[in-house]
Amino acid sequence: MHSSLVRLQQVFGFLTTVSFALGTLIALTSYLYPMTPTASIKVRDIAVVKRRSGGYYSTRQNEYAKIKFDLNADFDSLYNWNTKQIYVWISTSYGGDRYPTNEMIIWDKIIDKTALSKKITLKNEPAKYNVHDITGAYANRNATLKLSWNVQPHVGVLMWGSASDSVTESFMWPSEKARAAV
Amino acid sequence: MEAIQDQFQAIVDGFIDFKGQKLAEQITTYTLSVSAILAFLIGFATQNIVYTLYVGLAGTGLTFLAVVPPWPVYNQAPVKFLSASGNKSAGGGVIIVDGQEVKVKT
Repeated sequence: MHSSLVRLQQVFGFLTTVSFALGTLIALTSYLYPMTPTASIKVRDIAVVKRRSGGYYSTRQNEYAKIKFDLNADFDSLYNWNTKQIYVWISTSYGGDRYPTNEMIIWDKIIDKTALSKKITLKNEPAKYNVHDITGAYANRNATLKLSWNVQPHVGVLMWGSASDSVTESFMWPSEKARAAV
Repeated sequence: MEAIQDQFQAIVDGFIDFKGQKLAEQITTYTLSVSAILAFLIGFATQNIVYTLYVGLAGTGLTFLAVVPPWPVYNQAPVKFLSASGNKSAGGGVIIVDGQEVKVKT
Protein backbone atom coordinates (compact mmCIF):
# COMPACT_ATOMS: atom_id res chain seq x y z
CA MET A 1 0.00 0.00 0.00
CA HIS A 2 3.01 2.31 -0.20
CA SER A 3 2.27 3.95 -3.57
CA SER A 4 -0.87 5.16 -5.33
CA LEU A 5 -0.72 2.42 -7.96
CA VAL A 6 -0.47 -0.34 -5.37
CA ARG A 7 -3.39 1.15 -3.40
CA LEU A 8 -5.46 1.31 -6.60
CA GLN A 9 -4.82 -2.38 -7.23
CA GLN A 10 -5.48 -3.31 -3.62
CA VAL A 11 -8.84 -1.53 -3.49
CA PHE A 12 -9.91 -2.99 -6.83
CA GLY A 13 -8.83 -6.48 -5.76
CA PHE A 14 -10.89 -6.35 -2.57
CA LEU A 15 -13.78 -4.83 -4.53
CA THR A 16 -14.01 -7.97 -6.69
CA THR A 17 -14.20 -10.13 -3.55
CA VAL A 18 -16.91 -7.94 -1.99
CA SER A 19 -18.89 -7.80 -5.26
CA PHE A 20 -18.82 -11.59 -5.56
CA ALA A 21 -20.07 -12.01 -1.99
CA LEU A 22 -22.80 -9.41 -2.52
CA GLY A 23 -23.87 -11.07 -5.78
CA THR A 24 -24.05 -14.48 -4.11
CA LEU A 25 -26.20 -13.05 -1.33
CA ILE A 26 -28.60 -11.42 -3.82
CA ALA A 27 -28.81 -14.63 -5.87
CA LEU A 28 -29.69 -16.62 -2.75
CA THR A 29 -32.58 -14.30 -1.84
CA SER A 30 -34.35 -15.46 -5.03
CA TYR A 31 -35.19 -18.68 -3.20
CA LEU A 32 -37.06 -16.79 -0.47
CA TYR A 33 -39.97 -16.03 -2.78
CA PRO A 34 -42.30 -18.91 -3.66
CA MET A 35 -43.01 -18.96 -7.39
CA THR A 36 -46.58 -20.08 -7.92
CA PRO A 37 -48.00 -18.50 -11.08
CA THR A 38 -51.47 -19.57 -12.10
CA ALA A 39 -52.72 -20.05 -15.63
CA SER A 40 -55.64 -21.55 -17.41
CA ILE A 41 -55.76 -22.28 -21.13
CA LYS A 42 -58.84 -23.05 -23.17
CA VAL A 43 -58.48 -24.41 -26.69
CA ARG A 44 -60.84 -22.54 -29.00
CA ASP A 45 -60.07 -23.85 -32.45
CA ILE A 46 -57.78 -26.41 -34.02
CA ALA A 47 -57.22 -26.70 -37.74
CA VAL A 48 -54.68 -28.65 -39.76
CA VAL A 49 -53.76 -27.43 -43.23
CA LYS A 50 -51.33 -28.79 -45.78
CA ARG A 51 -48.67 -26.38 -46.99
CA ARG A 52 -45.46 -26.56 -48.93
CA SER A 53 -42.67 -26.30 -46.37
CA GLY A 54 -39.44 -26.02 -48.34
CA GLY A 55 -40.08 -22.68 -49.97
CA TYR A 56 -41.14 -22.00 -53.54
CA TYR A 57 -38.67 -24.49 -55.02
CA SER A 58 -39.92 -27.49 -53.04
CA THR A 59 -43.00 -29.58 -53.65
CA ARG A 60 -42.77 -31.37 -50.29
CA GLN A 61 -45.90 -30.88 -48.20
CA ASN A 62 -46.37 -30.78 -44.43
CA GLU A 63 -49.37 -30.59 -42.20
CA TYR A 64 -49.42 -27.37 -40.20
CA ALA A 65 -51.44 -26.96 -37.03
CA LYS A 66 -53.27 -23.68 -36.55
CA ILE A 67 -54.43 -23.20 -32.99
CA LYS A 68 -56.56 -20.56 -31.33
CA PHE A 69 -56.79 -20.40 -27.57
CA ASP A 70 -57.86 -18.39 -24.51
CA LEU A 71 -55.33 -17.66 -21.80
CA ASN A 72 -55.90 -16.34 -18.30
CA ALA A 73 -52.65 -16.08 -16.35
CA ASP A 74 -51.22 -14.31 -13.31
CA PHE A 75 -47.42 -14.13 -13.14
CA ASP A 76 -47.22 -11.76 -10.14
CA SER A 77 -45.48 -14.32 -7.92
CA LEU A 78 -42.56 -14.61 -10.37
CA TYR A 79 -41.53 -11.00 -9.76
CA ASN A 80 -39.28 -10.19 -6.83
CA TRP A 81 -36.50 -7.61 -6.47
CA ASN A 82 -34.09 -9.86 -8.35
CA THR A 83 -36.32 -10.52 -11.39
CA LYS A 84 -35.27 -8.79 -14.61
CA GLN A 85 -37.78 -10.33 -16.98
CA ILE A 86 -39.69 -13.54 -17.50
CA TYR A 87 -40.28 -15.65 -20.56
CA VAL A 88 -43.54 -17.58 -20.77
CA TRP A 89 -44.59 -19.96 -23.46
CA ILE A 90 -47.38 -22.33 -24.40
CA SER A 91 -46.34 -25.64 -25.84
CA THR A 92 -48.27 -28.53 -27.26
CA SER A 93 -47.17 -32.07 -26.51
CA TYR A 94 -48.34 -35.38 -27.92
CA GLY A 95 -47.17 -38.93 -28.43
CA GLY A 96 -46.50 -41.02 -31.50
CA ASP A 97 -45.29 -44.40 -32.68
CA ARG A 98 -42.03 -43.53 -34.36
CA TYR A 99 -41.25 -40.44 -32.26
CA PRO A 100 -42.95 -40.98 -28.90
CA THR A 101 -42.22 -37.55 -27.34
CA ASN A 102 -43.18 -34.36 -29.18
CA GLU A 103 -43.27 -30.87 -27.74
CA MET A 104 -43.56 -27.65 -29.76
CA ILE A 105 -43.90 -24.02 -28.72
CA ILE A 106 -46.93 -22.37 -30.34
CA TRP A 107 -46.94 -19.04 -28.48
CA ASP A 108 -44.55 -17.13 -26.23
CA LYS A 109 -44.00 -13.76 -24.62
CA ILE A 110 -41.29 -11.84 -22.77
CA ILE A 111 -42.67 -9.77 -19.88
CA ASP A 112 -40.27 -7.16 -18.55
CA LYS A 113 -40.34 -6.21 -14.88
CA THR A 114 -41.41 -2.71 -15.93
CA ALA A 115 -44.58 -4.10 -17.53
CA LEU A 116 -47.62 -2.42 -16.04
CA SER A 117 -49.51 -5.65 -15.49
CA LYS A 118 -48.17 -9.10 -14.78
CA LYS A 119 -51.50 -10.64 -15.63
CA ILE A 120 -52.35 -11.81 -19.14
CA THR A 121 -55.80 -12.27 -20.58
CA LEU A 122 -56.07 -13.44 -24.17
CA LYS A 123 -59.30 -14.20 -25.99
CA ASN A 124 -59.36 -16.35 -29.10
CA GLU A 125 -55.64 -15.69 -29.63
CA PRO A 126 -54.09 -17.29 -32.72
CA ALA A 127 -50.85 -19.17 -32.12
CA LYS A 128 -47.70 -17.23 -32.97
CA TYR A 129 -46.08 -20.21 -34.58
CA ASN A 130 -47.80 -22.60 -36.98
CA VAL A 131 -45.97 -25.81 -36.27
CA HIS A 132 -45.69 -29.07 -38.15
CA ASP A 133 -44.96 -32.58 -36.99
CA ILE A 134 -41.59 -34.21 -37.65
CA THR A 135 -43.25 -36.91 -39.79
CA GLY A 136 -45.22 -34.31 -41.75
CA ALA A 137 -48.63 -35.59 -40.61
CA TYR A 138 -50.55 -35.31 -37.34
CA ALA A 139 -52.59 -38.46 -38.06
CA ASN A 140 -55.36 -37.87 -35.50
CA ARG A 141 -53.13 -38.08 -32.45
CA ASN A 142 -54.12 -36.68 -29.05
CA ALA A 143 -52.39 -33.56 -27.73
CA THR A 144 -52.47 -31.11 -24.81
CA LEU A 145 -51.40 -27.50 -24.30
CA LYS A 146 -49.35 -26.37 -21.32
CA LEU A 147 -47.92 -23.07 -20.08
CA SER A 148 -44.31 -22.92 -18.85
CA TRP A 149 -42.17 -20.10 -17.53
CA ASN A 150 -38.55 -19.06 -17.19
CA VAL A 151 -37.39 -16.35 -14.77
CA GLN A 152 -34.31 -14.34 -15.73
CA PRO A 153 -32.86 -12.66 -12.61
CA HIS A 154 -30.50 -9.71 -12.32
CA VAL A 155 -28.00 -11.87 -10.42
CA GLY A 156 -28.10 -15.64 -10.16
CA VAL A 157 -29.35 -18.66 -12.01
CA LEU A 158 -32.28 -18.99 -14.40
CA MET A 159 -35.36 -20.55 -12.85
CA TRP A 160 -37.71 -22.79 -14.76
CA GLY A 161 -41.15 -24.19 -14.17
CA SER A 162 -44.58 -24.78 -15.54
CA ALA A 163 -48.03 -23.94 -14.30
CA SER A 164 -49.37 -27.38 -13.56
CA ASP A 165 -52.98 -26.15 -13.52
CA SER A 166 -52.58 -24.87 -17.08
CA VAL A 167 -52.53 -28.30 -18.78
CA THR A 168 -55.57 -28.48 -21.03
CA GLU A 169 -57.79 -31.43 -21.60
CA SER A 170 -56.51 -33.67 -24.33
CA PHE A 171 -57.73 -32.84 -27.84
CA MET A 172 -57.30 -34.66 -31.13
CA TRP A 173 -55.44 -33.22 -34.10
CA PRO A 174 -58.14 -33.11 -36.76
CA SER A 175 -57.71 -34.38 -40.28
CA GLU A 176 -56.49 -31.91 -42.81
CA LYS A 177 -58.96 -29.07 -43.40
CA ALA A 178 -61.54 -30.65 -41.08
CA ARG A 179 -62.15 -28.08 -38.38
CA ALA A 180 -62.99 -29.27 -34.93
CA ALA A 181 -64.29 -27.06 -32.21
CA VAL A 182 -63.09 -28.23 -28.81
CA MET B 1 13.19 21.46 -14.93
CA GLU B 2 14.38 18.62 -12.74
CA ALA B 3 12.52 20.03 -9.78
CA ILE B 4 9.28 20.00 -11.75
CA GLN B 5 9.99 16.42 -12.82
CA ASP B 6 10.58 15.36 -9.22
CA GLN B 7 7.38 17.04 -8.11
CA PHE B 8 5.44 15.31 -10.86
CA GLN B 9 7.03 11.97 -9.96
CA ALA B 10 6.05 12.47 -6.29
CA ILE B 11 2.42 13.05 -7.26
CA VAL B 12 2.37 9.94 -9.44
CA ASP B 13 4.12 7.80 -6.82
CA GLY B 14 2.05 9.02 -3.89
CA PHE B 15 4.23 7.38 -1.25
CA ILE B 16 2.88 7.17 2.31
CA ASP B 17 4.50 6.01 5.53
CA PHE B 18 4.10 2.65 7.28
CA LYS B 19 1.38 3.74 9.70
CA GLY B 20 -0.45 5.37 6.79
CA GLN B 21 -0.31 2.07 4.89
CA LYS B 22 -1.92 0.21 7.78
CA LEU B 23 -4.61 2.88 8.05
CA ALA B 24 -5.26 2.82 4.28
CA GLU B 25 -5.69 -0.95 4.33
CA GLN B 26 -8.13 -0.79 7.26
CA ILE B 27 -10.16 1.94 5.56
CA THR B 28 -10.33 -0.15 2.37
CA THR B 29 -11.58 -3.22 4.22
CA TYR B 30 -14.16 -1.43 6.35
CA THR B 31 -15.65 1.02 3.84
CA LEU B 32 -16.01 -1.58 1.07
CA SER B 33 -17.53 -4.19 3.41
CA VAL B 34 -19.88 -1.75 5.10
CA SER B 35 -21.02 -0.22 1.81
CA ALA B 36 -21.77 -3.71 0.44
CA ILE B 37 -23.83 -4.60 3.52
CA LEU B 38 -25.64 -1.26 3.37
CA ALA B 39 -26.27 -1.70 -0.36
CA PHE B 40 -27.81 -5.11 0.22
CA LEU B 41 -29.99 -3.97 3.12
CA ILE B 42 -31.25 -0.84 1.35
CA GLY B 43 -31.99 -2.74 -1.86
CA PHE B 44 -33.71 -5.56 -0.02
CA ALA B 45 -35.76 -3.24 2.17
CA THR B 46 -36.99 -1.21 -0.80
CA GLN B 47 -37.22 -4.31 -3.04
CA ASN B 48 -35.33 -2.39 -5.70
CA ILE B 49 -32.00 -3.80 -6.88
CA VAL B 50 -31.09 -0.52 -8.58
CA TYR B 51 -30.56 1.04 -5.13
CA THR B 52 -28.17 -1.78 -4.30
CA LEU B 53 -26.18 -0.89 -7.41
CA TYR B 54 -26.09 2.83 -6.65
CA VAL B 55 -25.18 2.46 -2.96
CA GLY B 56 -22.49 -0.06 -3.87
CA LEU B 57 -21.05 2.20 -6.55
CA ALA B 58 -21.10 5.20 -4.19
CA GLY B 59 -19.24 3.23 -1.53
CA THR B 60 -16.70 2.05 -4.08
CA GLY B 61 -16.11 5.57 -5.39
CA LEU B 62 -15.72 6.88 -1.85
CA THR B 63 -13.17 4.15 -1.06
CA PHE B 64 -11.08 4.92 -4.14
CA LEU B 65 -11.19 8.64 -3.32
CA ALA B 66 -10.26 8.10 0.33
CA VAL B 67 -7.46 5.58 -0.15
CA VAL B 68 -5.70 6.10 -3.47
CA PRO B 69 -4.40 9.72 -3.23
CA PRO B 70 -1.59 10.25 -0.66
CA TRP B 71 -3.66 12.34 1.75
CA PRO B 72 -1.65 14.08 4.52
CA VAL B 73 -3.31 11.83 7.14
CA TYR B 74 -1.29 8.93 5.72
CA ASN B 75 1.99 10.78 6.21
CA GLN B 76 1.85 11.62 9.94
CA ALA B 77 4.71 9.34 10.95
CA PRO B 78 7.44 9.54 8.34
CA VAL B 79 10.43 7.25 8.88
CA LYS B 80 13.37 9.19 10.31
CA PHE B 81 16.61 8.19 8.71
CA LEU B 82 19.91 8.45 10.56
CA SER B 83 21.93 11.46 9.68
CA ALA B 84 25.19 10.98 7.87
CA SER B 85 26.94 13.01 10.62
CA GLY B 86 26.51 10.05 13.01
CA ASN B 87 29.72 8.66 11.57
CA LYS B 88 32.32 9.99 13.97
CA SER B 89 35.27 7.94 12.98
CA ALA B 90 36.19 6.26 9.82
CA GLY B 91 35.53 2.53 9.88
CA GLY B 92 33.43 2.41 13.06
CA GLY B 93 30.10 4.19 13.54
CA VAL B 94 27.87 5.14 16.42
CA ILE B 95 24.22 4.43 15.95
CA ILE B 96 21.61 5.67 18.36
CA VAL B 97 18.68 3.36 18.93
CA ASP B 98 15.98 4.46 21.38
CA GLY B 99 18.32 7.09 22.77
CA GLN B 100 21.15 4.63 23.48
CA GLU B 101 24.38 4.37 21.64
CA VAL B 102 25.00 1.14 19.84
CA LYS B 103 28.47 0.16 18.77
CA VAL B 104 28.79 -1.33 15.38
CA LYS B 105 31.54 -3.71 14.55
CA THR B 106 33.02 -3.42 11.13
